[in-house]
Amino acid sequence: MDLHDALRHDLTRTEPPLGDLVGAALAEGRRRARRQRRTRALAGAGAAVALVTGLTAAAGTSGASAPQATYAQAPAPEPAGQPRDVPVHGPEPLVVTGDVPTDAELLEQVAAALQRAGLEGAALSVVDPDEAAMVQVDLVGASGPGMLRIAVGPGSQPPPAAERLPDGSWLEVGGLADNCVQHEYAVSTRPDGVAVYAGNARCLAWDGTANPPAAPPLTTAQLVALVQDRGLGG
Amino acid sequence: MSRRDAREAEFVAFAGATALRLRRTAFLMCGDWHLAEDLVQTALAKVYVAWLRGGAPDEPTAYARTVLLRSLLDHRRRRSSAERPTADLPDAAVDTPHDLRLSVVDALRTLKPADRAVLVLRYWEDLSVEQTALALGLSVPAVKSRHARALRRFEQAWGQPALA
Repeated sequence: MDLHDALRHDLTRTEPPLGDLVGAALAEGRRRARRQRRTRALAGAGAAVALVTGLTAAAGTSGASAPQATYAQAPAPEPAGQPRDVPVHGPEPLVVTGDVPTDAELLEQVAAALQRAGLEGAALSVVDPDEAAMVQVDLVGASGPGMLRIAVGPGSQPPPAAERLPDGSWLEVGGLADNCVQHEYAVSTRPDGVAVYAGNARCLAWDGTANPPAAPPLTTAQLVALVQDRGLGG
Repeated sequence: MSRRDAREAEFVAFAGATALRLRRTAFLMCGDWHLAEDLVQTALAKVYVAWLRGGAPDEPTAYARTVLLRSLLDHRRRRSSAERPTADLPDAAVDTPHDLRLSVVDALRTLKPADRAVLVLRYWEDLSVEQTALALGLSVPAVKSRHARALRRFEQAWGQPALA
């Protein structure tokens, strides 16, 4: 019996019943799809705007000190001839094969990443655990207290203006002058399609009416290093 | 029926037709039926998300297999301390025909995951060298050299020629 036959002989003798594997996969797939719909478009300039819009809109309605995040769909233009919903970046389709963490997993990953970066003494909290995998970090740095938000999700499109790095990932660094929560942000979109976002705030909270000012907790280099930390979304 | 419902129905039909084979592939890669089922579930869930978003992939079986292999290889990397290739096999595995199952699986498990994947794809999935290269994201020459090395090591572990 050669290898080809032995493999078949082996499997037919030992295989347990299949069970409802398809049903379980469907349930897990639906959960993933729900999460991805809510966290889509973390990458890309359009996505960044959507993120800001979502955060702002949601925070504006929450009126609470613990802000809520809601992601809008990326209003990225669709190239002619491309079917709707198919993510593209120039000629290269972006297929999301990487894992997107749950809120609890992201919380652990962020804690570990901060430790690796030497940023200790931070208070971490999940931002709206029912809506998105996003963590808020309250840091006390040399300039006083500061706030940072980190999110991981599927990148529907790599940022069109982003820099392509040697490891195949895309990096975009930007900022929004009229939004204190995203005073400065970095988005790393990895070759496996997972996007990591971190926003350096100039305020301590967004409650729709008052934005206590604060110094950005991280330098730009620290922000970039954080989104490139492979422990996030790994 | 909405587009979403139609796509979901397509996916369910596809998953029902391929789940068994994917689980067997996963088992040959990991040697654990429960883990194989978990990994296939995750892989199919990822395929579902892509299917829902963009419709059926051009080659859904190949796509699902690639997602599964990446999950398997990633899983290996994450638990790299849990399993080591070894040259030592159970003494009784080779000589007794009724125990051939153990010797095949155990012999596969002596290989590095990427080498094991090449053999599983070539001799279980019956893929060509070119298809194997595509599934693993390797060049054709790389698959050929890896295949030769993996086959040699497998035969050493299995104790008999792998090819009739």
